[in-house]
Amino acid sequence: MATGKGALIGDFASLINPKRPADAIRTLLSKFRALPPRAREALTSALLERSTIERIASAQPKKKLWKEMHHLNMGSGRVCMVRIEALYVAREKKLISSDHAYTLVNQEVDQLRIEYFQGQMRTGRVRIPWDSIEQTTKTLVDPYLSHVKLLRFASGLPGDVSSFLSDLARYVANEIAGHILYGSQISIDQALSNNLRHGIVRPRFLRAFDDALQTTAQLKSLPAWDAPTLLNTFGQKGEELLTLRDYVSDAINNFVDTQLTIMVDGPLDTAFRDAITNTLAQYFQPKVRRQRTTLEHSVAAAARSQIERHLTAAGNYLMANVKSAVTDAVRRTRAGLRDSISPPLALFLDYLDTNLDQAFDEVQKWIGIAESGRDLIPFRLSDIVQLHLLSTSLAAWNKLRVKILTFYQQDSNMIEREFLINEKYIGLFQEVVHNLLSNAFKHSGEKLETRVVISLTVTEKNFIISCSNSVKDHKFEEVSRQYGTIVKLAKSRLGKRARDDKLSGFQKIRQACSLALHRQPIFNIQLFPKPRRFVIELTVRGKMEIII
Amino acid sequence: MMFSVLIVEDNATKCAEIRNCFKIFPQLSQTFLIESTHSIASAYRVLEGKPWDLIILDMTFQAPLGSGNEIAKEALAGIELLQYMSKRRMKTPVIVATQHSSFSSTDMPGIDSIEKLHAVLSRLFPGNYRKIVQVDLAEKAWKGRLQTAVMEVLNDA
Repeated sequence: MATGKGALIGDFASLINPKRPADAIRTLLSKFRALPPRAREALTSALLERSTIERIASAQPKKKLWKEMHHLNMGSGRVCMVRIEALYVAREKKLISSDHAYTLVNQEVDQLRIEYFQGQMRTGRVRIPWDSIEQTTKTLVDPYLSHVKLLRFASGLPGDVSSFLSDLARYVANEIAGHILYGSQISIDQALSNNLRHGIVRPRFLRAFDDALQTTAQLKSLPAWDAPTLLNTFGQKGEELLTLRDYVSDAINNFVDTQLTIMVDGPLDTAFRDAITNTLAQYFQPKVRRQRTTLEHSVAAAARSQIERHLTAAGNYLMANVKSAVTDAVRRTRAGLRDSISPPLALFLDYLDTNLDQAFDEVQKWIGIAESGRDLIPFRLSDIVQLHLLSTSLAAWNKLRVKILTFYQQDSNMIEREFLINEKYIGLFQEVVHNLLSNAFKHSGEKLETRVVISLTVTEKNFIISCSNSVKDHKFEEVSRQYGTIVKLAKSRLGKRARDDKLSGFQKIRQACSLALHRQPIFNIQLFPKPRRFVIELTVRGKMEIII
Repeated sequence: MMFSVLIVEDNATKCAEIRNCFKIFPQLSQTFLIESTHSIASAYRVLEGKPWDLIILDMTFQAPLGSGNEIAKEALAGIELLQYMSKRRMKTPVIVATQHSSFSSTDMPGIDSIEKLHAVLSRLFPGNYRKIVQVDLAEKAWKGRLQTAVMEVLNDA
């Protein structure tokens, strides 16, 4: 214990020339070459470990390596880069084989890509199609503009023209606000639903409980929140945790319903209408110097500013009010159990405390507007699936039973291999994967035990995403009874049913396809009795440049 | 006289509570300069950056995320810093503040109590390790114990 990893890092650090820290790893590897084979192998292996590289870089204060990592705020990503360089040096100096170096470099490249996407996920998630919002605004405002121009320069009209134009501005602003806030596929409320409310925020907090349970109990199976499991793991008072979990779940649901939902005549609704009215009124008034930007752009900018303000307030509310209520609840539970708490239960509460803290930090960062199209890179289906699972299901996402398959057509053959997907479709794939996986876990009756196969097939004529999940016996009958309704919902693209459906996963996938591809998917739903499986398959026809 | 304290702790609530302990030292004339860092990796940088008068160190840290297979906590990760300081001959006194009562890990089995951990740390890191304080966020008595431990370090300084 006295000579573990910390001592090793200390030894390595003392061998580094403080004047040339950027060459630290190369210098160390060069020194290893002179050692006897076993010592050389052991030290090389220890040095090339990811955590060792990270710590050596960290132990170089004020020096270029650490400054770069710190300045770029991409610590872990930078560690990938340093490790890749170290692996190449180790191969060059024949300290490791080419095959081994190649395998580890590939792992780092995968890690680097995931780090990148995780970095993207640490920022605002609310994806708003600003182009479509500007287009809608233009469509709504254009019919009035000719009248406005006439009135602006009219003279001798009865009454106050200026006052009339202000009223007109409010009328048009209400119409625009109605569309932008609630009335269409591109509405802000829809964006809040898709990107935060629907299976995102609450699952992230429940993940804090799952992770704590997984860590405390070192479960071989996946965590289950039922009385027998809790009694078995924590003893007599284990069931108290169900109450705490329900409390946190309700608190988050309440937050989502009140702060992340736009209420008619609520604060955002009112401020939003006022801001757009002001923008229009300014534009409608005579003798006002016109700005160079278009009216629709000004309206979108005013809308954005109001939404940003609202989301910041919601994030602050989460951290001030909800977090303190949840922290108090954990404290109360801890205090209530003090006299009879078992060691595993105390451990669970400690882990939970930290996990919830992280969940609050992450979710606060999610409550913001996504910068669409900025710094996107190609991705794999597995990246998106992994990020979804990590985000909403379990930190140890590899323990989940989710299998990913990807196929593409080459000439007339179908080839099963991972491929990179065009970055412009990242929003579409995030939406589709999120809805399919959420649906699979939610309705299978098996929760995290659900076995899922998600596949993507890309041909010259279409692409198909399929999600198959196991279904528990008791749930199968329920799903069978609802099968007809589910199929109708999946197939309703037109008519009242489709207009009223703003919440189903099918509708969200349709909207995402429509925005990204200007095409509608065709759903095929199947239920198999042996083995019990539920399969959703969506096909988008047409030639698209999905693979790069 | 300024007394610099580094808190190495990944739990924000606990870190804030530890900071609060330093606000009530009426019997002392020192003012405290308190900084905190939330991971073992970043602690290396802070340790190398400048000398500290005292370190309050947590034992159990979150393992880095990413592989998907991680056990979310490393029970004795804090020992790594004691090893490093010992090897680098840094003489900064360390008080361990932990919420946990069992620390067994695959590398170091058998440390199933605070007392056992105290005995092990006293034996292995006599140059740095001073005391262990069990933090229980449900009560306040631990704050007094931590303050007493800090006082002892101050008196020795």
